[in-house]
Amino acid sequence: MSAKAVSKSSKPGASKEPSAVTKLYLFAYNAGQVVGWSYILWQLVNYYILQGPEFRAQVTLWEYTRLAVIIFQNAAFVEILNASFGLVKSNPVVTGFQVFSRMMVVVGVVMATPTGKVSPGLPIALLAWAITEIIRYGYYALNIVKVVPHFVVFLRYTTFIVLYPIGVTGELLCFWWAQSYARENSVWSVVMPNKWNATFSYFGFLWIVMLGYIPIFPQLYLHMFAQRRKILGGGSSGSPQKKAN
Amino acid sequence: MELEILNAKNSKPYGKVKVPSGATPIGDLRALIHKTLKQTPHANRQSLRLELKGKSLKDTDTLESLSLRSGDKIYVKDLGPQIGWKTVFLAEYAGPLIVYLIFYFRPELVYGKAASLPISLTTHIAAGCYTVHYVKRLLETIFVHRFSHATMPLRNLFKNCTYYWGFTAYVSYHVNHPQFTSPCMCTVWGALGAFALCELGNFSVHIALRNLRPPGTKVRKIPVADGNPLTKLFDLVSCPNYTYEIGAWVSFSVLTSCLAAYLFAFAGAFQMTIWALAKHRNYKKEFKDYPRQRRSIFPFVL
Repeated sequence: MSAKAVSKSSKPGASKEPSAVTKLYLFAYNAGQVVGWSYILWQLVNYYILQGPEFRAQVTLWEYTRLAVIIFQNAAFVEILNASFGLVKSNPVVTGFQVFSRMMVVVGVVMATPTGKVSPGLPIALLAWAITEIIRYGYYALNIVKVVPHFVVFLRYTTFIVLYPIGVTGELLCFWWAQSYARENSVWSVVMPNKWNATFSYFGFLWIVMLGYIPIFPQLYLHMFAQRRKILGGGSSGSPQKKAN
Repeated sequence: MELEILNAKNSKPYGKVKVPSGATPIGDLRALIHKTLKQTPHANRQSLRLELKGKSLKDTDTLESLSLRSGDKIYVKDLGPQIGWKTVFLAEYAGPLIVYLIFYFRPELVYGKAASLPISLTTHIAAGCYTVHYVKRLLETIFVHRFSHATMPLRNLFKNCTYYWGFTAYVSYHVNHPQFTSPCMCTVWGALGAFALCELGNFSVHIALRNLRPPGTKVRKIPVADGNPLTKLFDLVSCPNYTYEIGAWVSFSVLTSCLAAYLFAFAGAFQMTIWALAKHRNYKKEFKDYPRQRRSIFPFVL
């Protein structure tokens, strides 16, 4: 899941304006993420379109992209801190959940299991994430310097309609590919006997996470539609009005 | 005195209620409201307040004490379906007995073929402790406790049972597991002694609290130790029943050396600490001469 509560700079005239250092930090972080996810998108294009099948036979997609994905996806952890310390207006709990569900795919599925690495869900998820994140982080960065072209706002609140379901499909396919391996190999699991008389089934945990998508994803998806109505005005069929955020 | 009754959801009037005297308590007013205006929720479902989003009025408040006059407005909020406290407590505590003993007496249902392995003495002791604890709670619910509110929302039945039954299944699965590893027997016997002491202490405090207020009276008094030495803990904390309860579960956790039991002890301790802090605050507000050296739940600490 890649929904995220909107992070807004203070509006002009608002009583509290973030300090110059805060704005510089947030701008640098968001711009860095745009660069990172652009690089990942480039890697995807290169891997599947520019390179031939003999290249793909030599190196898996994960081997090819993993360093960048690990860096830029896990860097999103700082967004929980940003929200917790009030640098951005997002809800820390909502942000935390969203970041961890993505980190769960990267760390808990792809890095943890060999089957997750070769899941068809991985390229699907990475494509959706890369496009979404370039737009999202670009939107945030431009907000900080208060120069947001309308088409960026439009992209921010329209592309999710297609990309979120694609991303979730990719994520769930990764989980699906990982869970059978986790069961057969007791990956990251604890079994008895042991001194603490404790058990932990990573296989069971993966299933709990997968089932958790059912109640949670619709809420996040519908939340983005509500944001879209608020920011872009009337129905998508009507002519969208420009609105200061 | 005539009061106007409105719906707290939409401010629409239900109608007017004639009240015989200013000495009428809110508890009686709720029954009178439903009796007079049939479309209002049943008395048990009503939460009365003076403002649309005001605080719920206490049943023991009188109209006089609230400075109510003819023509004043009362807002009624519907609390939803209600269930008796006693019913909830009996369900909460009977479930753990049944769930735990399924794992203990019918392990083959849970563990399959591995269930034929011999059970350790510690597992037997743990089953005894668990049974004693919840039988004690059931008996206290029937014979000892008095409940200031008669009912609670039906939703709580499912929440509370999920918590108690779920944690029981979690703890029970591990303690009754064929590959359970017992700590050394000196730890087991020591923890068993501590468990017994805490259970007796908890029971003693419950008896003292019950005797604090003779049946039918509403007099509020500072709880103090009685002749039973186990109630001396009142000198140190406001809620020694919670202190002993936590002590019992920590002892059970040490006895079984079981992570799930520690988690249950921690979850219970967290909730009881919240309740104890609130109760301690209320005591200090209500009694000007409340003993200063008392803490809420952990002697000298918190």
